[in-house]
Amino acid sequence: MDSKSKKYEIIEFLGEGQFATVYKAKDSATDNIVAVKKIKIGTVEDAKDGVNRTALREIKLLIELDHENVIALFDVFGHLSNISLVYDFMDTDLEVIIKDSSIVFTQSHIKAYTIMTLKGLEYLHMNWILHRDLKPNNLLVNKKGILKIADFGLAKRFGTPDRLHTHRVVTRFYRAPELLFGARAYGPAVDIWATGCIVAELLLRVPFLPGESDLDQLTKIFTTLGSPNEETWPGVAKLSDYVVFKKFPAIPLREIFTAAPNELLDVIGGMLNVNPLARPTCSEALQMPYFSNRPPPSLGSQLPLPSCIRDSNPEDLDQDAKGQKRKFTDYSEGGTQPKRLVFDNFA
Amino acid sequence: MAGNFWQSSHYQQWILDKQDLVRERQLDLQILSEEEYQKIGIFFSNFIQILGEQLKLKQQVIATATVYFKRFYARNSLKCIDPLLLSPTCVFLASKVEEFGVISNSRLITTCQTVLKNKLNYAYTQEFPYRTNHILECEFYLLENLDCCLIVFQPYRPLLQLVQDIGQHEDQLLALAWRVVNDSLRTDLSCYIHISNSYRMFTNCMCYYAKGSQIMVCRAKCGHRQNTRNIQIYNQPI
Repeated sequence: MDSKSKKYEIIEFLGEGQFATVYKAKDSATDNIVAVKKIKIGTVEDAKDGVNRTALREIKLLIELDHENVIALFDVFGHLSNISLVYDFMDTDLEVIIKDSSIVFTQSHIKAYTIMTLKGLEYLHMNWILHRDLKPNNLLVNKKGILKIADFGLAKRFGTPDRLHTHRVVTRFYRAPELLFGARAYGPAVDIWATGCIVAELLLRVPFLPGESDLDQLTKIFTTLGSPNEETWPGVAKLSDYVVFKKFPAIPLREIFTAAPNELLDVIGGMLNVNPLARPTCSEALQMPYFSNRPPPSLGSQLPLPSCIRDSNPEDLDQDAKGQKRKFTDYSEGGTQPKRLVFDNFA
Repeated sequence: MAGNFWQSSHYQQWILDKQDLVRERQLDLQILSEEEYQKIGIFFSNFIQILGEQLKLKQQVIATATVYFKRFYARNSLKCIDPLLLSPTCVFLASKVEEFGVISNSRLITTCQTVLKNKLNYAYTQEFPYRTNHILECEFYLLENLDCCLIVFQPYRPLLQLVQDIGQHEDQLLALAWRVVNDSLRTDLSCYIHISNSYRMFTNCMCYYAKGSQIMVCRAKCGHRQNTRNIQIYNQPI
Protein backbone atom coordinates (compact mmCIF):
# COMPACT_ATOMS: atom_id res chain seq x y z
CA MET A 1 0.00 0.00 0.00
CA ASP A 2 3.03 2.24 0.39
CA SER A 3 3.37 3.19 -3.23
CA LYS A 4 -0.04 4.81 -3.28
CA SER A 5 0.86 7.56 -0.84
CA LYS A 6 3.10 9.00 -3.52
CA LYS A 7 0.24 8.96 -5.96
CA TYR A 8 -1.42 11.85 -4.16
CA GLU A 9 0.16 15.29 -3.91
CA ILE A 10 -1.08 17.23 -0.95
CA ILE A 11 -2.27 20.72 -1.91
CA GLU A 12 -3.53 22.11 1.37
CA PHE A 13 -4.68 21.27 4.86
CA LEU A 14 -8.46 21.37 5.11
CA GLY A 15 -9.40 20.52 8.63
CA GLU A 16 -9.04 18.32 11.62
CA GLY A 17 -11.62 16.22 13.39
CA GLN A 18 -11.60 13.96 16.37
CA PHE A 19 -10.39 10.94 14.45
CA ALA A 20 -8.76 12.30 11.36
CA THR A 21 -6.99 15.05 9.50
CA VAL A 22 -8.26 16.00 6.06
CA TYR A 23 -6.15 17.29 3.18
CA LYS A 24 -6.97 18.51 -0.27
CA ALA A 25 -4.81 16.61 -2.72
CA LYS A 26 -4.26 15.95 -6.39
CA ASP A 27 -4.24 12.50 -7.88
CA SER A 28 -1.03 12.70 -9.90
CA ALA A 29 -2.22 10.03 -12.33
CA THR A 30 -5.50 11.64 -13.33
CA ASP A 31 -5.12 15.23 -12.07
CA ASN A 32 -8.39 14.86 -10.20
CA ILE A 33 -8.75 16.84 -7.01
CA VAL A 34 -9.58 14.58 -4.09
CA ALA A 35 -9.88 14.77 -0.33
CA VAL A 36 -7.51 12.58 1.66
CA LYS A 37 -8.57 11.72 5.16
CA LYS A 38 -5.73 10.50 7.27
CA ILE A 39 -6.90 8.57 10.29
CA LYS A 40 -5.06 9.52 13.44
CA ILE A 41 -3.40 6.90 15.51
CA GLY A 42 -4.80 7.81 18.86
CA THR A 43 -3.60 6.59 22.18
CA VAL A 44 -1.69 3.39 22.83
CA GLU A 45 -5.02 1.81 23.75
CA ASP A 46 -6.45 2.57 20.31
CA ALA A 47 -3.36 1.28 18.58
CA LYS A 48 -3.90 -2.11 20.18
CA ASP A 49 -7.22 -2.35 18.39
CA GLY A 50 -5.54 -2.34 15.01
CA VAL A 51 -7.20 -0.58 12.10
CA ASN A 52 -9.46 2.10 13.52
CA ARG A 53 -13.07 0.96 13.80
CA THR A 54 -14.51 4.19 12.52
CA ALA A 55 -12.32 3.96 9.43
CA LEU A 56 -13.25 0.34 9.01
CA ARG A 57 -16.95 1.20 9.06
CA GLU A 58 -16.45 3.84 6.39
CA ILE A 59 -14.42 1.47 4.25
CA LYS A 60 -16.73 -1.50 4.47
CA LEU A 61 -19.88 0.50 3.76
CA LEU A 62 -18.69 3.06 1.22
CA ILE A 63 -17.00 0.46 -0.93
CA GLU A 64 -20.41 -1.09 -1.52
CA LEU A 65 -22.23 2.16 -2.22
CA ASP A 66 -22.58 4.17 -5.39
CA HIS A 67 -25.03 7.06 -5.53
CA GLU A 68 -24.84 10.65 -6.66
CA ASN A 69 -25.83 11.93 -3.23
CA VAL A 70 -23.53 9.71 -1.21
CA ILE A 71 -19.83 10.48 -0.91
CA ALA A 72 -17.65 8.17 -3.00
CA LEU A 73 -14.61 6.40 -1.61
CA PHE A 74 -12.02 6.12 -4.36
CA ASP A 75 -9.11 4.55 -2.64
CA VAL A 76 -7.62 3.38 0.60
CA PHE A 77 -3.94 3.35 1.31
CA GLY A 78 -1.78 2.83 4.31
CA HIS A 79 1.63 3.76 5.43
CA LEU A 80 3.23 2.13 8.48
CA SER A 81 0.30 1.89 10.84
CA ASN A 82 -1.47 4.88 9.34
CA ILE A 83 -4.48 4.50 7.15
CA SER A 84 -5.80 7.08 4.70
CA LEU A 85 -9.06 7.21 2.79
CA VAL A 86 -9.48 9.04 -0.49
CA TYR A 87 -12.84 10.68 -1.28
CA ASP A 88 -14.53 13.01 -3.72
CA PHE A 89 -13.35 16.53 -3.08
CA MET A 90 -16.21 18.65 -1.78
CA ASP A 91 -15.91 22.41 -1.53
CA THR A 92 -18.10 23.10 1.45
CA ASP A 93 -20.85 21.74 3.64
CA LEU A 94 -24.41 22.68 4.43
CA GLU A 95 -23.52 24.07 7.84
CA VAL A 96 -21.23 26.67 6.30
CA ILE A 97 -23.90 27.56 3.75
CA ILE A 98 -26.61 27.89 6.42
CA LYS A 99 -24.42 30.07 8.60
CA ASP A 100 -23.32 32.37 5.77
CA SER A 101 -25.49 35.43 6.30
CA SER A 102 -24.76 36.76 2.82
CA ILE A 103 -26.78 33.91 1.33
CA VAL A 104 -30.52 34.19 0.97
CA PHE A 105 -32.34 30.91 0.44
CA THR A 106 -35.24 30.77 -1.95
CA GLN A 107 -37.91 28.08 -1.74
CA SER A 108 -36.25 26.38 -4.71
CA HIS A 109 -32.92 26.20 -2.88
CA ILE A 110 -34.48 24.58 0.15
CA LYS A 111 -36.38 22.13 -2.00
CA ALA A 112 -33.21 21.17 -3.89
CA TYR A 113 -31.20 20.51 -0.72
CA THR A 114 -34.04 18.52 0.82
CA ILE A 115 -34.50 16.37 -2.27
CA MET A 116 -30.79 15.60 -2.54
CA THR A 117 -30.58 14.66 1.13
CA LEU A 118 -33.64 12.44 0.91
CA LYS A 119 -32.45 10.72 -2.25
CA GLY A 120 -29.09 9.89 -0.72
CA LEU A 121 -30.75 8.72 2.45
CA GLU A 122 -33.32 6.67 0.57
CA TYR A 123 -30.46 4.86 -1.13
CA LEU A 124 -28.77 4.16 2.20
CA HIS A 125 -31.96 2.85 3.76
CA MET A 126 -32.64 0.67 0.72
CA ASN A 127 -29.23 -0.84 1.35
CA TRP A 128 -30.14 -1.42 5.00
CA ILE A 129 -27.76 1.18 6.33
CA LEU A 130 -28.58 3.64 9.09
CA HIS A 131 -26.44 6.76 8.96
CA ARG A 132 -26.99 7.76 12.60
CA ASP A 133 -25.14 11.06 12.41
CA LEU A 134 -27.01 13.29 9.98
CA LYS A 135 -26.41 17.00 10.51
CA PRO A 136 -25.70 19.94 8.19
CA ASN A 137 -21.98 19.51 8.87
CA ASN A 138 -22.06 16.01 7.36
CA LEU A 139 -23.92 17.03 4.22
CA LEU A 140 -21.14 18.11 1.90
CA VAL A 141 -21.75 20.33 -1.11
CA ASN A 142 -19.48 20.85 -4.08
CA LYS A 143 -19.12 23.77 -6.44
CA LYS A 144 -21.61 22.22 -8.83
CA GLY A 145 -24.20 22.38 -6.07
CA ILE A 146 -24.41 18.63 -5.57
CA LEU A 147 -25.03 17.53 -2.03
CA LYS A 148 -23.51 14.30 -0.77
CA ILE A 149 -24.01 12.52 2.54
CA ALA A 150 -20.68 11.90 4.25
CA ASP A 151 -19.16 10.63 7.48
CA PHE A 152 -20.16 7.02 7.95
CA GLY A 153 -18.27 6.68 11.22
CA LEU A 154 -21.43 5.82 13.12
CA ALA A 155 -23.30 4.13 10.31
CA LYS A 156 -24.55 0.63 10.86
CA ARG A 157 -26.39 -2.06 9.02
CA PHE A 158 -29.88 -2.64 10.35
CA GLY A 159 -32.66 -5.13 9.79
CA THR A 160 -31.68 -8.08 11.95
CA PRO A 161 -34.56 -8.22 14.41
CA ASP A 162 -32.63 -9.57 17.37
CA ARG A 163 -29.72 -7.16 17.08
CA LEU A 164 -29.80 -4.16 19.31
CA HIS A 165 -28.11 -0.87 18.66
CA THR A 166 -26.76 1.71 21.05
CA HIS A 167 -28.92 4.75 21.64
CA ARG A 168 -25.90 6.98 22.11
CA VAL A 169 -25.80 8.13 18.52
CA VAL A 170 -26.54 11.26 16.50
CA THR A 171 -25.47 14.76 17.51
CA ARG A 172 -27.86 15.96 20.20
CA PHE A 173 -29.73 18.67 18.27
CA TYR A 174 -30.72 16.11 15.66
CA ARG A 175 -31.37 13.18 17.97
CA ALA A 176 -34.81 11.62 17.78
CA PRO A 177 -36.95 11.33 20.94
CA GLU A 178 -36.88 7.52 20.92
CA LEU A 179 -33.08 7.63 21.17
CA LEU A 180 -33.27 10.09 24.04
CA PHE A 181 -35.67 7.68 25.77
CA GLY A 182 -33.08 4.92 25.43
CA ALA A 183 -34.56 2.82 22.62
CA ARG A 184 -32.25 -0.02 21.56
CA ALA A 185 -34.34 -1.32 18.69
CA TYR A 186 -34.85 1.54 16.29
CA GLY A 187 -34.78 2.03 12.56
CA PRO A 188 -34.58 4.47 9.65
CA ALA A 189 -36.96 6.83 11.44
CA VAL A 190 -34.02 8.22 13.47
CA ASP A 191 -32.43 9.45 10.24
CA ILE A 192 -35.76 10.88 9.09
CA TRP A 193 -36.05 12.85 12.32
CA ALA A 194 -32.57 14.29 11.79
CA THR A 195 -33.50 15.21 8.21
CA GLY A 196 -36.62 16.97 9.53
CA CYS A 197 -34.44 19.00 11.90
CA ILE A 198 -32.13 19.90 9.01
CA VAL A 199 -35.00 21.09 6.80
CA ALA A 200 -36.29 23.19 9.69
CA GLU A 201 -32.80 24.61 10.11
CA LEU A 202 -32.72 25.56 6.42
CA LEU A 203 -35.79 27.70 7.06
CA LEU A 204 -34.73 29.19 10.39
CA ARG A 205 -30.98 29.44 9.68
CA VAL A 206 -30.28 28.36 13.28
CA PRO A 207 -30.59 24.86 14.80
CA PHE A 208 -34.27 24.13 15.31
CA LEU A 209 -34.04 22.28 18.63
CA PRO A 210 -30.77 23.25 20.33
CA GLY A 211 -30.89 21.30 23.58
CA GLU A 212 -28.23 21.94 26.20
CA SER A 213 -28.42 18.48 27.72
CA ASP A 214 -30.24 15.28 26.84
CA LEU A 215 -33.09 16.17 29.15
CA ASP A 216 -33.22 19.72 27.86
CA GLN A 217 -33.33 18.30 24.33
CA LEU A 218 -36.47 16.34 25.21
CA THR A 219 -37.98 19.40 26.83
CA LYS A 220 -37.28 21.47 23.71
CA ILE A 221 -38.82 18.79 21.51
CA PHE A 222 -41.98 18.42 23.57
CA THR A 223 -42.55 22.10 24.29
CA THR A 224 -42.39 22.70 20.55
CA LEU A 225 -44.10 19.63 19.14
CA GLY A 226 -46.25 18.59 22.08
CA SER A 227 -45.54 15.94 24.70
CA PRO A 228 -46.31 12.36 23.76
CA ASN A 229 -48.85 10.10 25.38
CA GLU A 230 -49.98 6.54 24.74
CA GLU A 231 -52.34 7.83 22.09
CA THR A 232 -49.94 9.90 20.02
CA TRP A 233 -47.07 7.46 20.52
CA PRO A 234 -48.21 3.96 21.53
CA GLY A 235 -45.63 2.15 23.63
CA VAL A 236 -43.63 5.21 24.60
CA ALA A 237 -43.88 4.46 28.31
CA LYS A 238 -42.17 1.10 27.81
CA LEU A 239 -38.88 2.66 26.68
CA SER A 240 -36.15 2.19 29.25
CA ASP A 241 -35.33 5.84 29.94
CA TYR A 242 -38.88 7.12 29.67
CA VAL A 243 -39.70 10.07 31.88
CA VAL A 244 -43.13 11.60 32.17
CA PHE A 245 -43.33 15.16 30.94
CA LYS A 246 -45.80 17.82 31.80
CA LYS A 247 -48.49 18.12 29.16
CA PHE A 248 -47.37 20.60 26.56
CA PRO A 249 -49.56 21.52 23.62
CA ALA A 250 -47.92 21.50 20.20
CA ILE A 251 -47.10 24.90 18.74
CA PRO A 252 -48.60 25.06 15.25
CA LEU A 253 -45.73 24.80 12.75
CA ARG A 254 -47.26 27.71 10.86
CA GLU A 255 -46.33 29.99 13.78
CA ILE A 256 -42.72 28.81 13.81
CA PHE A 257 -42.10 28.78 10.08
CA THR A 258 -44.00 31.84 8.98
CA ALA A 259 -42.61 31.94 5.47
CA ALA A 260 -42.93 28.28 4.56
CA PRO A 261 -45.61 26.98 2.18
CA ASN A 262 -48.17 24.57 3.59
CA GLU A 263 -46.85 21.57 1.67
CA LEU A 264 -43.42 22.08 3.24
CA LEU A 265 -45.00 22.24 6.69
CA ASP A 266 -46.60 18.87 5.93
CA VAL A 267 -43.19 17.44 5.14
CA ILE A 268 -41.59 18.84 8.29
CA GLY A 269 -44.57 17.84 10.42
CA GLY A 270 -44.39 14.27 9.11
CA MET A 271 -40.67 13.91 9.64
CA LEU A 272 -40.82 15.43 13.10
CA ASN A 273 -43.64 13.24 14.33
CA VAL A 274 -42.66 12.17 17.85
CA ASN A 275 -43.93 8.67 17.13
CA PRO A 276 -41.19 7.02 15.03
CA LEU A 277 -43.64 4.63 13.40
CA ALA A 278 -45.72 7.51 12.09
CA ARG A 279 -42.81 9.24 10.33
CA PRO A 280 -42.71 8.71 6.57
CA THR A 281 -39.92 6.69 4.96
CA CYS A 282 -37.64 8.53 2.55
CA SER A 283 -39.54 7.18 -0.42
CA GLU A 284 -42.88 8.19 1.07
CA ALA A 285 -41.55 11.62 1.91
CA LEU A 286 -40.30 12.15 -1.65
CA GLN A 287 -43.80 11.34 -2.91
CA MET A 288 -45.36 14.16 -0.89
CA PRO A 289 -46.92 16.97 -2.96
CA TYR A 290 -44.30 19.51 -1.84
CA PHE A 291 -41.67 17.93 -4.04
CA SER A 292 -43.74 17.87 -7.21
CA ASN A 293 -45.39 21.27 -6.79
CA ARG A 294 -44.04 24.56 -8.03
CA PRO A 295 -41.55 26.12 -7.69
CA PRO A 296 -39.22 23.43 -9.04
CA PRO A 297 -35.99 22.74 -7.12
CA SER A 298 -32.98 24.80 -8.18
CA LEU A 299 -30.49 23.28 -10.53
CA GLY A 300 -27.13 22.60 -8.96
CA SER A 301 -25.54 25.54 -10.74
CA GLN A 302 -28.08 27.94 -9.25
CA LEU A 303 -27.45 26.94 -5.67
CA PRO A 304 -25.62 29.47 -3.54
CA LEU A 305 -21.99 29.11 -2.48
CA PRO A 306 -20.59 30.53 0.73
CA SER A 307 -18.61 33.76 0.44
CA CYS A 308 -15.28 32.11 1.31
CA ILE A 309 -15.47 29.99 -1.85
CA ARG A 310 -16.82 32.76 -4.06
CA ASP A 311 -13.93 34.99 -3.01
CA SER A 312 -11.20 32.42 -3.41
CA ASN A 313 -12.07 31.52 -7.02
CA PRO A 314 -13.28 34.70 -8.70
CA GLU A 315 -12.49 33.52 -12.25
CA ASP A 316 -14.31 30.22 -11.99
CA LEU A 317 -17.29 31.88 -10.55
CA ASP A 318 -17.42 34.66 -13.07
CA GLN A 319 -17.73 32.09 -15.77
CA ASP A 320 -20.31 30.18 -13.85
CA ALA A 321 -22.29 33.30 -13.14
CA LYS A 322 -22.23 34.33 -16.77
CA GLY A 323 -23.39 30.92 -17.85
CA GLN A 324 -26.10 31.00 -15.28
CA LYS A 325 -27.29 34.44 -16.19
CA ARG A 326 -27.45 33.55 -19.82
CA LYS A 327 -29.44 30.44 -19.08
CA PHE A 328 -31.69 32.36 -16.84
CA THR A 329 -32.55 35.09 -19.33
CA ASP A 330 -33.05 32.48 -22.01
CA TYR A 331 -35.49 30.74 -19.77
CA SER A 332 -37.46 33.83 -18.83
CA GLU A 333 -37.57 35.17 -22.33
CA GLY A 334 -38.15 31.83 -23.98
CA GLY A 335 -41.22 31.82 -26.17
CA THR A 336 -42.05 35.49 -25.96
CA GLN A 337 -39.22 36.86 -28.04
CA PRO A 338 -37.91 35.50 -31.29
CA LYS A 339 -34.66 33.68 -30.84
CA ARG A 340 -31.67 35.75 -31.76
CA LEU A 341 -28.39 34.26 -32.75
CA VAL A 342 -25.50 36.10 -31.21
CA PHE A 343 -22.08 35.76 -32.71
CA ASP A 344 -19.81 37.09 -30.05
CA ASN A 345 -16.76 36.45 -32.18
CA PHE A 346 -17.81 38.80 -34.89
CA ALA A 347 -18.66 41.70 -32.65
CA MET B 1 -25.85 -7.43 4.76
CA ALA B 2 -29.20 -7.48 3.20
CA GLY B 3 -28.44 -4.86 0.57
CA ASN B 4 -28.36 -5.64 -3.09
CA PHE B 5 -26.18 -8.69 -3.67
CA TRP B 6 -26.02 -8.07 -7.41
CA GLN B 7 -24.29 -4.74 -6.90
CA SER B 8 -22.09 -5.81 -4.03
CA SER B 9 -18.34 -6.21 -4.09
CA HIS B 10 -18.94 -9.82 -3.15
CA TYR B 11 -20.73 -10.50 -6.43
CA GLN B 12 -18.77 -8.14 -8.66
CA GLN B 13 -15.25 -8.84 -7.48
CA TRP B 14 -15.19 -11.98 -5.45
CA ILE B 15 -17.04 -14.65 -7.34
CA LEU B 16 -13.95 -16.36 -8.64
CA ASP B 17 -13.74 -18.90 -11.41
CA LYS B 18 -12.45 -22.31 -10.68
CA GLN B 19 -9.75 -21.64 -13.28
CA ASP B 20 -8.58 -18.55 -11.39
CA LEU B 21 -8.23 -20.52 -8.20
CA VAL B 22 -6.32 -23.29 -9.93
CA ARG B 23 -4.01 -20.84 -11.68
CA GLU B 24 -3.22 -18.85 -8.58
CA ARG B 25 -2.27 -21.90 -6.59
CA GLN B 26 0.10 -23.38 -9.17
CA LEU B 27 3.09 -22.26 -7.14
CA ASP B 28 1.87 -24.12 -4.10
CA LEU B 29 0.91 -27.15 -6.15
CA GLN B 30 4.50 -27.59 -7.28
CA ILE B 31 5.25 -28.53 -3.71
CA LEU B 32 1.97 -29.87 -2.44
CA SER B 33 -0.50 -32.21 -4.03
CA GLU B 34 -4.03 -30.96 -4.62
CA GLU B 35 -5.25 -33.11 -1.77
CA GLU B 36 -2.62 -31.80 0.62
CA TYR B 37 -3.52 -28.25 -0.35
CA GLN B 38 -7.19 -28.88 0.40
CA LYS B 39 -6.30 -30.51 3.69
CA ILE B 40 -4.32 -27.48 4.76
CA GLY B 41 -7.34 -25.33 3.92
CA ILE B 42 -9.59 -27.56 6.00
CA PHE B 43 -7.12 -27.61 8.88
CA PHE B 44 -7.02 -23.82 9.16
CA SER B 45 -10.76 -23.45 8.62
CA ASN B 46 -11.09 -25.73 11.63
CA PHE B 47 -8.62 -23.60 13.53
CA ILE B 48 -10.72 -20.51 12.79
CA GLN B 49 -13.88 -22.36 13.80
CA ILE B 50 -12.41 -23.50 17.12
CA LEU B 51 -10.95 -20.06 17.81
CA GLY B 52 -14.33 -18.48 17.15
CA GLU B 53 -16.15 -20.94 19.35
CA GLN B 54 -13.66 -20.41 22.19
CA LEU B 55 -14.12 -16.66 21.84
CA LYS B 56 -17.91 -17.19 21.83
CA LEU B 57 -18.34 -15.50 18.47
CA LYS B 58 -21.42 -15.96 16.35
CA GLN B 59 -21.22 -18.34 13.41
CA GLN B 60 -21.69 -15.35 11.12
CA VAL B 61 -18.37 -13.89 12.30
CA ILE B 62 -16.58 -17.21 12.02
CA ALA B 63 -17.92 -17.66 8.49
CA THR B 64 -16.79 -14.19 7.46
CA ALA B 65 -13.33 -14.83 8.91
CA THR B 66 -13.10 -18.09 6.97
CA VAL B 67 -14.07 -16.36 3.72
CA TYR B 68 -11.40 -13.68 4.31
CA PHE B 69 -8.89 -16.48 4.80
CA LYS B 70 -9.96 -18.18 1.56
CA ARG B 71 -9.94 -14.94 -0.38
CA PHE B 72 -6.45 -14.09 0.80
CA TYR B 73 -5.00 -17.42 -0.34
CA ALA B 74 -7.00 -17.32 -3.53
CA ARG B 75 -4.59 -14.58 -4.53
CA ASN B 76 -1.45 -15.48 -2.61
CA SER B 77 0.73 -18.45 -2.02
CA LEU B 78 0.63 -20.17 1.34
CA LYS B 79 4.27 -19.14 1.70
CA CYS B 80 3.31 -15.48 1.58
CA ILE B 81 1.96 -15.25 5.13
CA ASP B 82 1.95 -18.10 7.62
CA PRO B 83 -1.68 -19.29 7.77
CA LEU B 84 -1.18 -19.77 11.49
CA LEU B 85 -0.87 -15.99 11.75
CA LEU B 86 -3.46 -15.15 9.13
CA SER B 87 -6.21 -17.25 10.76
CA PRO B 88 -6.43 -15.27 14.02
CA THR B 89 -6.02 -12.05 12.02
CA CYS B 90 -9.08 -12.96 9.95
CA VAL B 91 -11.03 -13.61 13.14
CA PHE B 92 -9.87 -10.27 14.52
CA LEU B 93 -10.88 -8.30 11.42
CA ALA B 94 -14.17 -10.14 10.98
CA SER B 95 -15.22 -9.50 14.56
CA LYS B 96 -14.68 -5.80 14.00
CA VAL B 97 -16.50 -5.74 10.69
CA GLU B 98 -19.50 -7.70 11.88
CA GLU B 99 -19.65 -5.54 15.02
CA PHE B 100 -20.31 -8.31 17.48
CA GLY B 101 -18.50 -6.88 20.47
CA VAL B 102 -14.81 -6.28 20.88
CA ILE B 103 -12.24 -8.99 21.25
CA SER B 104 -9.11 -7.68 22.81
CA ASN B 105 -5.92 -8.61 21.14
CA SER B 106 -4.41 -10.12 24.25
CA ARG B 107 -7.44 -12.37 24.66
CA LEU B 108 -7.09 -13.45 21.06
CA ILE B 109 -3.43 -14.36 21.54
CA THR B 110 -4.14 -16.26 24.76
CA THR B 111 -6.92 -18.19 23.04
CA CYS B 112 -4.60 -19.04 20.16
CA GLN B 113 -2.09 -20.39 22.64
CA THR B 114 -4.60 -22.58 24.44
CA VAL B 115 -6.21 -23.87 21.27
CA LEU B 116 -2.84 -24.76 19.80
CA LYS B 117 -1.78 -26.48 22.98
CA ASN B 118 -4.97 -28.37 23.73
CA LYS B 119 -6.59 -29.10 20.38
CA LEU B 120 -3.96 -28.90 17.70
CA ASN B 121 -0.96 -30.34 19.50
CA TYR B 122 -0.88 -33.18 16.98
CA ALA B 123 0.25 -30.65 14.37
CA TYR B 124 2.13 -28.06 16.35
CA THR B 125 4.56 -29.02 19.08
CA GLN B 126 5.85 -25.59 19.90
CA GLU B 127 3.97 -22.61 21.35
CA PHE B 128 1.96 -20.11 19.35
CA PRO B 129 4.79 -17.91 18.07
CA TYR B 130 2.99 -14.64 17.27
CA ARG B 131 2.27 -11.53 19.30
CA THR B 132 -0.11 -8.59 19.09
CA ASN B 133 2.08 -6.50 16.82
CA HIS B 134 2.27 -9.36 14.30
CA ILE B 135 -1.51 -9.52 14.12
CA LEU B 136 -1.83 -5.76 13.71
CA GLU B 137 0.68 -5.74 10.88
CA CYS B 138 -0.94 -8.72 9.25
CA GLU B 139 -4.35 -7.04 9.47
CA PHE B 140 -3.02 -4.35 7.19
CA TYR B 141 -1.92 -6.81 4.54
CA LEU B 142 -5.16 -8.68 4.84
CA LEU B 143 -7.18 -5.49 4.33
CA GLU B 144 -5.13 -4.61 1.29
CA ASN B 145 -5.39 -8.05 -0.27
CA LEU B 146 -9.13 -8.09 0.24
CA ASP B 147 -9.25 -4.83 -1.75
CA CYS B 148 -11.08 -3.42 1.24
CA CYS B 149 -14.12 -5.56 0.37
CA LEU B 150 -15.27 -6.48 3.83
CA ILE B 151 -18.94 -7.25 3.54
CA VAL B 152 -19.52 -10.91 2.86
CA PHE B 153 -22.95 -12.30 2.14
CA GLN B 154 -23.59 -15.32 4.28
CA PRO B 155 -26.42 -17.75 3.70
CA TYR B 156 -27.35 -18.25 7.35
CA ARG B 157 -30.13 -15.73 7.55
CA PRO B 158 -31.70 -16.54 4.20
CA LEU B 159 -31.50 -20.16 5.30
CA LEU B 160 -33.52 -19.45 8.43
CA GLN B 161 -36.11 -17.69 6.30
CA LEU B 162 -36.19 -20.42 3.75
CA VAL B 163 -36.73 -23.15 6.30
CA GLN B 164 -39.43 -21.08 7.92
CA ASP B 165 -41.13 -20.64 4.56
CA ILE B 166 -41.01 -24.36 3.85
CA GLY B 167 -42.67 -24.74 7.19
CA GLN B 168 -42.30 -28.40 8.02
CA HIS B 169 -39.85 -30.46 10.04
CA GLU B 170 -37.97 -27.29 10.66
CA ASP B 171 -35.56 -28.41 13.33
CA GLN B 172 -34.04 -31.40 11.60
CA LEU B 173 -33.93 -29.68 8.27
CA LEU B 174 -32.36 -26.57 9.68
CA ALA B 175 -29.69 -28.39 11.65
CA LEU B 176 -28.71 -30.42 8.62
CA ALA B 177 -28.65 -27.49 6.24
CA TRP B 178 -26.74 -25.39 8.73
CA ARG B 179 -24.05 -28.03 8.87
CA VAL B 180 -23.91 -28.26 5.10
CA VAL B 181 -23.31 -24.52 4.95
CA ASN B 182 -20.61 -24.73 7.61
CA ASP B 183 -18.89 -27.51 5.72
CA SER B 184 -19.03 -25.59 2.47
CA LEU B 185 -16.84 -22.97 4.14
CA ARG B 186 -14.07 -25.52 4.33
CA THR B 187 -14.04 -26.00 0.58
CA ASP B 188 -13.35 -23.78 -2.38
CA LEU B 189 -17.08 -23.17 -2.61
CA SER B 190 -16.89 -20.26 -0.19
CA CYS B 191 -14.86 -18.42 -2.80
CA TYR B 192 -16.53 -18.97 -6.08
CA ILE B 193 -20.00 -19.86 -5.18
CA HIS B 194 -22.84 -17.70 -6.17
CA ILE B 195 -25.29 -17.00 -3.44
CA SER B 196 -28.26 -18.23 -5.42
CA ASN B 197 -26.35 -21.40 -6.16
CA SER B 198 -25.60 -21.75 -2.53
CA TYR B 199 -29.31 -21.71 -1.83
CA ARG B 200 -29.83 -24.34 -4.41
CA MET B 201 -26.96 -26.41 -3.22
CA PHE B 202 -28.01 -26.61 0.34
CA THR B 203 -31.67 -26.84 -0.33
CA ASN B 204 -31.00 -29.78 -2.56
CA CYS B 205 -28.72 -31.31 0.01
CA MET B 206 -30.96 -30.77 2.93
CA CYS B 207 -34.00 -31.94 1.16
CA TYR B 208 -32.97 -35.50 0.70
CA TYR B 209 -33.55 -36.61 4.17
CA ALA B 210 -35.60 -39.36 5.57
CA LYS B 211 -38.51 -38.93 7.82
CA GLY B 212 -40.06 -42.15 8.96
CA SER B 213 -40.53 -44.41 6.02
CA GLN B 214 -41.03 -41.59 3.62
CA ILE B 215 -38.35 -39.66 1.86
CA MET B 216 -39.38 -36.13 1.26
CA VAL B 217 -38.00 -34.39 -1.70
CA CYS B 218 -38.24 -30.70 -1.41
CA ARG B 219 -36.88 -28.46 -4.00
CA ALA B 220 -36.66 -24.81 -3.55
CA LYS B 221 -36.53 -22.80 -6.64
CA CYS B 222 -34.85 -19.51 -6.12
CA GLY B 223 -35.74 -16.38 -8.01
CA HIS B 224 -33.18 -13.81 -8.88
CA ARG B 225 -33.45 -11.71 -5.79
CA GLN B 226 -33.61 -12.62 -2.18
CA ASN B 227 -36.90 -10.90 -1.62
CA THR B 228 -38.65 -12.17 -4.71
CA ARG B 229 -37.68 -15.69 -3.88
CA ASN B 230 -40.29 -18.00 -5.07
CA ILE B 231 -40.46 -21.25 -3.32
CA GLN B 232 -42.01 -24.28 -4.77
CA ILE B 233 -42.12 -27.31 -2.67
CA TYR B 234 -42.73 -30.75 -3.93
CA ASN B 235 -43.47 -33.39 -1.40
CA GLN B 236 -43.41 -36.78 -2.94
CA PRO B 237 -42.58 -40.19 -1.63
CA ILE B 238 -39.86 -41.95 -3.57
